[in-house]
Amino acid sequence: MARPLITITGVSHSLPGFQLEVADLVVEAGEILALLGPSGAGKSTLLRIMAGLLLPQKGQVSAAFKPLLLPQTPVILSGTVLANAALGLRLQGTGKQGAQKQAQAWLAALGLADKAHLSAAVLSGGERRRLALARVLACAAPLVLLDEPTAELDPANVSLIEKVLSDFRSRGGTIVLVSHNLFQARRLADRCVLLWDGTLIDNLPTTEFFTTPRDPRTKGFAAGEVIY
Amino acid sequence: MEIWEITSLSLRISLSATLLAALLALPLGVWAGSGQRRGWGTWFYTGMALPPAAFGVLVYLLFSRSGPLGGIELLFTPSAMILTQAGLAAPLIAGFTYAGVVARAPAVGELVASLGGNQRQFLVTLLLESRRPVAAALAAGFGAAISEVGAATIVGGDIRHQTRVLTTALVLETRLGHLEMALALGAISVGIALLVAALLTLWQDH
Repeated sequence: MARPLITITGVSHSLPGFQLEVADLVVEAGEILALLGPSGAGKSTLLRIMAGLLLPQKGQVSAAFKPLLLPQTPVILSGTVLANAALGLRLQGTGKQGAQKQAQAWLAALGLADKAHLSAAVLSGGERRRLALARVLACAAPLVLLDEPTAELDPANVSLIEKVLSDFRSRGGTIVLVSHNLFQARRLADRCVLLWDGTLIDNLPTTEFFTTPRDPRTKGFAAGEVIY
Repeated sequence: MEIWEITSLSLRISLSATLLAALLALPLGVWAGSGQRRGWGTWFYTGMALPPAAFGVLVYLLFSRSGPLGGIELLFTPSAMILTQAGLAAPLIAGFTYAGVVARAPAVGELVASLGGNQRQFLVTLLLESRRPVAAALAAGFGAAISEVGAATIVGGDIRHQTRVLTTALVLETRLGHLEMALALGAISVGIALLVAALLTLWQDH
């Protein structure tokens, strides 16, 4: 069995009008784990708990590394695209030149090389999302948590990001991916977890999740019969 | 060339007062805003409405011969004027800084934490990201200091060659009917404000 990077045991967290319950979940090194479920199922809340940004009211979360998080709505600071891309590295103590060099390579990988010296304020929504992803991936963290990294992107950019994520995983990186795109989960993920109304109801290898799920809710969700 | 002496003293007093106020009020505004300490915001905003003359009287009582700090013999000196102007500028600097920082703190905090940063890095990032409101805060603080006249007269006394500054000289020249001189002093005040505003704008856009 691969090394566990995050282990969640008996986690429970209440928010107004919502309760998250995750009895048991392990994120293993080197995998892409997709967190799926209808809107409001608790995917982003679970991701924030994994990132340590939200302390669960009950239960335990142990992480081998401090994971980095790409939030659903990325925050872009004033300044250039390159300065934004290098921010994570700078926070981790990398020198300015080294950080900018590494950040530049990730901007290039995500199709933003020619915009590196522009003000980040002029970027479109899709470009801002790619910039935020470059900022996270540039840190070379062993584990990243990505909340809908391809939301609102055109097919060409979705394909580009999926390739970047596959390359990241093939170099040993681990990804927890929240997505509403079932095709994407099927293409990228090794395992799929279904959250339903705050409760984790299935955790299966991707092939099994989409072909022979046991829970009727998973069956309906994987077949695209759930409207969300 | 008394006008240059007055201008030079005005600049020295107001810049010193702004610097002194900023040293205290900027960190206080960032601390209050970054921690969403809204009660502090109320105090800053209240301080902004403090009548300068009333504050001047307070400082006067504090440093007068019979006051608790009378032994220092600071009254009717540029130092007393610096302290008074700093006291008036501080709530403006803290308040504007607080208002700028409090709106940005949640997003910047989440960003820095999501990238593995610590509290110190959060505060530095927040301050850099709030350059515009901080520049506005400094401009407001300096503006309050250099344009102040009531408190400056009370604690400075408008003594020729010692505590006469642009605003107190302007009032005196107007009373003497020297309106051209009064207008010239006013124009110099505006010119200085313009220069400081231009420097702060350059800094905020850097």
